Amino acid sequence: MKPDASVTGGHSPERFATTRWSVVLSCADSTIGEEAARQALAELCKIYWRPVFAFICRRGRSVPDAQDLTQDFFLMVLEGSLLKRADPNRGRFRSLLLKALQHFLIDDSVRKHARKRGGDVQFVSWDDWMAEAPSHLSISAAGAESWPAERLYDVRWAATAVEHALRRLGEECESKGRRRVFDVLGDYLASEREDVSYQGLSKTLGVPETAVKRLLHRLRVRYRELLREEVAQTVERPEDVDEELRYLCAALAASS
Amino acid sequence: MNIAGISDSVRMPSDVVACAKCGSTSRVGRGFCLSCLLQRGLEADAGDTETLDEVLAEVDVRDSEWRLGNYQILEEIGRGGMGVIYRARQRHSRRIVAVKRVLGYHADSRETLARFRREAQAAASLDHPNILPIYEVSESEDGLPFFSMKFAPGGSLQEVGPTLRNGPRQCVVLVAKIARAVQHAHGKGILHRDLKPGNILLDGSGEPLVSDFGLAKWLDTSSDLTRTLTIFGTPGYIAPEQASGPAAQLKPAADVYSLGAILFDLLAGRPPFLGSHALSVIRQAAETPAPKLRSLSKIADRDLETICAHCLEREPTARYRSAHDLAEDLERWLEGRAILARRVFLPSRVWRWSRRNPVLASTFIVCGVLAIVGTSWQVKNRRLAARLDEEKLAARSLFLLPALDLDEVSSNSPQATDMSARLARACGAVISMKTSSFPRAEAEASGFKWKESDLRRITLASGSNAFLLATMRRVEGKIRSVLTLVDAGSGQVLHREIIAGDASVETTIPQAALFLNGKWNQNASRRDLARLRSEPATATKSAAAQDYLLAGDDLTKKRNEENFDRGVECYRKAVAADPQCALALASLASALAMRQQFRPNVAELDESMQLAARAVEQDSLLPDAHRAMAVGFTMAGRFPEAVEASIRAFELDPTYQRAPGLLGALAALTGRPDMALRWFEWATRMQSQPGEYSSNIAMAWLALGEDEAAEAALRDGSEFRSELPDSTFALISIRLLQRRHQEVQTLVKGVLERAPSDRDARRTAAEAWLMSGKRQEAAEIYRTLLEGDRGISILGSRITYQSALGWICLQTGEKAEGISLLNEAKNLEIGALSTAPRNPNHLYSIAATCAALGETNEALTWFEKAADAGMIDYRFAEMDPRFSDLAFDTRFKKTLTALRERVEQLRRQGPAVTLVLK
Repeated sequence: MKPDASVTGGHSPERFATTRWSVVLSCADSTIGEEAARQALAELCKIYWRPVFAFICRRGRSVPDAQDLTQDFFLMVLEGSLLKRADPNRGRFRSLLLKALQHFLIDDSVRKHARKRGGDVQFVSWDDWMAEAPSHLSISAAGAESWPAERLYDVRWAATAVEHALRRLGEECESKGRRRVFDVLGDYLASEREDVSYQGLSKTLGVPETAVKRLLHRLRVRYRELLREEVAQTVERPEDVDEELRYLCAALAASS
Repeated sequence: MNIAGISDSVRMPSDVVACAKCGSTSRVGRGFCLSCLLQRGLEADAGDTETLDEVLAEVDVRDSEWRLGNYQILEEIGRGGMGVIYRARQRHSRRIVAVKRVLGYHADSRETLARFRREAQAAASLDHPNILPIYEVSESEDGLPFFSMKFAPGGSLQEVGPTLRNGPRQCVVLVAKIARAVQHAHGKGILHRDLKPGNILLDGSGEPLVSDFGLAKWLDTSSDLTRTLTIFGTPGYIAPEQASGPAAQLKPAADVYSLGAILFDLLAGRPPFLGSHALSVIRQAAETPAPKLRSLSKIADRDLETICAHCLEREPTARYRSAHDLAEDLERWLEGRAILARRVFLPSRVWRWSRRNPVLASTFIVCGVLAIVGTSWQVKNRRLAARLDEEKLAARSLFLLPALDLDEVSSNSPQATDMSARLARACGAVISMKTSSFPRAEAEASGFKWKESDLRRITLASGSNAFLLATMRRVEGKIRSVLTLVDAGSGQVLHREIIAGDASVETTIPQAALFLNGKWNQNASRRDLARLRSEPATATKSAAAQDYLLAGDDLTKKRNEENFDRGVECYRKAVAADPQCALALASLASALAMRQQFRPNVAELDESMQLAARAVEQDSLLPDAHRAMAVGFTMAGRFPEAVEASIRAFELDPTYQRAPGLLGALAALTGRPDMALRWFEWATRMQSQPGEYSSNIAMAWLALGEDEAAEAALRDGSEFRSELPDSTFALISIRLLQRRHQEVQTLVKGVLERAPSDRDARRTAAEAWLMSGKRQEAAEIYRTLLEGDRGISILGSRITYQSALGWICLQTGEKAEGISLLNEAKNLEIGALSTAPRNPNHLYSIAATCAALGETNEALTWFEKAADAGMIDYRFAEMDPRFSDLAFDTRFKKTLTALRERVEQLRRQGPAVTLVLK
């Protein structure tokens, strides 16, 4: 979602905040700041619902069923059951969520519990959420048919983190009235320098080549920061970011 | 629908391009390599201190387009030869929409832009659950058109199609829904012309939404093959005749072909024809039969093969007759019944019978809303009620529209606001359900009008499934209220309560609340609900009647004699096909009565009245039936009865467009231009085509002496309906009153050049010449007019041909002919009073003829009678040369002064609306 520049004074408030997952973990066994933890968790769930939904679908549920189950699952997570089961010493949000999800799908009683605790409240309005942050993931047809649910979950997770970082980068440009810079140069975030026709881009944007180079460089640097921030939200310590990124890269490579 | 078990838009292109750098095939966003983007996160920190913000601030690349009209552009989601698509946010409602705009360098002329606008408006008028709704058609500051529509988060069939290939049922269900939607558009005269998987979008629950109706040629956002060709459409999906013939001659059969190609593609994984380039695909489609579906699809059976082949016939007439027929056949297949495309042998029919799946079939037919409403009504007590989730709450919740005061034609009158408030309180107190009231400001900001589709949309957006409309008016000193409960999902009337007689406003509300309470809380089962939604009598089971009705509507809309005659014949055939169908009876009755304007015929008017009475008898709740009565009464000059019947039509369905238009005309005719404006304002809110009522509005302003407002209304109207002559006629009236005779002459000449043989045009021209002193020219036209028609217009013209020509003859010294003509006129005009004794136009024309004859006293008496009956247009009388001898008569001047004061008074009171259009 677009941070409202007028409210936050122009800077991204998340940049200096404690990572969300560490907030969640630090509060797991105390009642202090429970509300903060709940909010942090809710934020994470809002971002990372797609991998969960994908996993459930992959397990053969129909879309409406999967929508219901996803809702129920997140309700259970927000109720705190996930935290009670979580071992704060080895905490990746991604892996804990997956474990909880597997458990949730196997264990009927957990599911019933969730429904009883408020499963009739909608957590996500599907169309709204999809419209708010639409996602376009394209994978090989063979992959779509053959990957196990766990791998699909990881790939979806990686895509979600990347897309969220891209979206924030686009919004930062937009808040400066420079959305076009992102629209034009965004395509080259992943390219090597030699693949880029600076001359063509200079013409498209109507600025000198040197400016294009500076812009693209700066966009890449900022994108890297944002992606790392994104991942940092889901791990406990800043030093875990590299490891999580490597894990996701490996999951993708294995699936290609 | 299972979208690959992933989520919204997941593409699985058959031709995956591996990343040149890392070899990965997974991509996100606009095709970025997911793996490479992830790797970036692991790169070393650049370590420099410059920030992105600083660099951005330095370069001069401004976002000129990041706002478009009322929309904040969020991102570009597609771009093609002629258009760009953005994801955007509407500023007031904050909802996410898709916005498409035509790119500047293709929109090269004003004419092109106007055409785009017209077609987009037409597409926007389509209202069907499986057609992507267009919210707004507008122009950006630089004059380029754009339109906003629902954002479909589920991607398109092109992307998810491959995941459906293991389930033929899913494919067939989808295509059947698409075919129904296409039929809906065909019924409105709109062809799609470029149906293909990429144009079928999916909402969040996988429901198909057909997009870009009739607009494909403007947008062409995806196909890189077609851009070099002069045809529109996408090879592989377009019908062969589309590539060879002129676009104007395309028939619905072309869309049927494309539907078949889509079904083929879903089942086989490829369109029927493939080729290395577009031309080869088109040539194959034109020259060779489509391949057998089962040779390419493992999941299709013989019947599906037959259905596809039937759609893909090269000869358009050999295909299904309509998208409707295709949908029916697909539904037959789904229900396991024999398809019609080709009879099948008995054993396989029995086998299919056994395989029939009633659950699926019924969920397919029963729409979601019905199911939700049905279950929620089973809830009987508070404890259970507390557990209702959002959706079920929506089923019990009610959207209250502001009550309409029909006497004031306003929802703002003290009575109406009072009623609205009471209704809200009563519903809240008596019924344990959620009620939401009308967010007036918000609605106005988002372009809300009063069309049924608007009401349904705003209701659903508010989280309710039904809306309640209340109208009220005084009948013999007592309030008569009609409450109508409408299912917002289907638009069907759930219940209607007429509260009249002794009920005062005070007792009306509790009664309304009791009614609602009873209906919503006691009905326990879905069967009761079904009973509540009685089968609408308008629906005819006869497909032929249906077709004739549609054709009749289309023809009579064109407002010229020839098409009108053909329309009447269509309605006759509809009645013959289904003599019990109230809608057919009503349509024929209205058309026969309306035809009186072209050719007065007493026998036909009688027939019309009888047919209308039969329509009311068949279905007394059908607004069209009451409108038919109203049109008959109007033509017979029985205005009070006409008003009553029209109001009844409007009461029964306050979204019924045709009633307010007629009420406006009646008010204008009987000397209430102020009320006419209010009714036309409502008619404008509901009109299917913009500009429909602008000339009526202009004439009403004119009668109020507001010439500027009249001209403004005309300008707005001519933008949309320049093909209708009415606006030029109205402009001539304005210029005549302003005595700008030079301009009158130019306009009249233009009218005569465009339609030299059109009777309306010639009559207008003759009147204009007469009023502007061009006797010679006027006489010429009147003589030819009289050759064809010596009768009198049934609604009454203020100037009969004989009277005008007679007056001219007297002025030019042909005394004998003049007197004879004037006497003929007088007899005719007085004769017309026998059916319509208080028609102000007849009364006026007698007065003028008498004045021309020099019968001063008689003229004055008739003129006073005309004024008394509602003839208010004193400026017309001042200008009418036949009254020139009376110009200094004190009695005549007294009447004129009284009329002027009356107009002044109406103007001071002011119509409720000060600006009618926009």
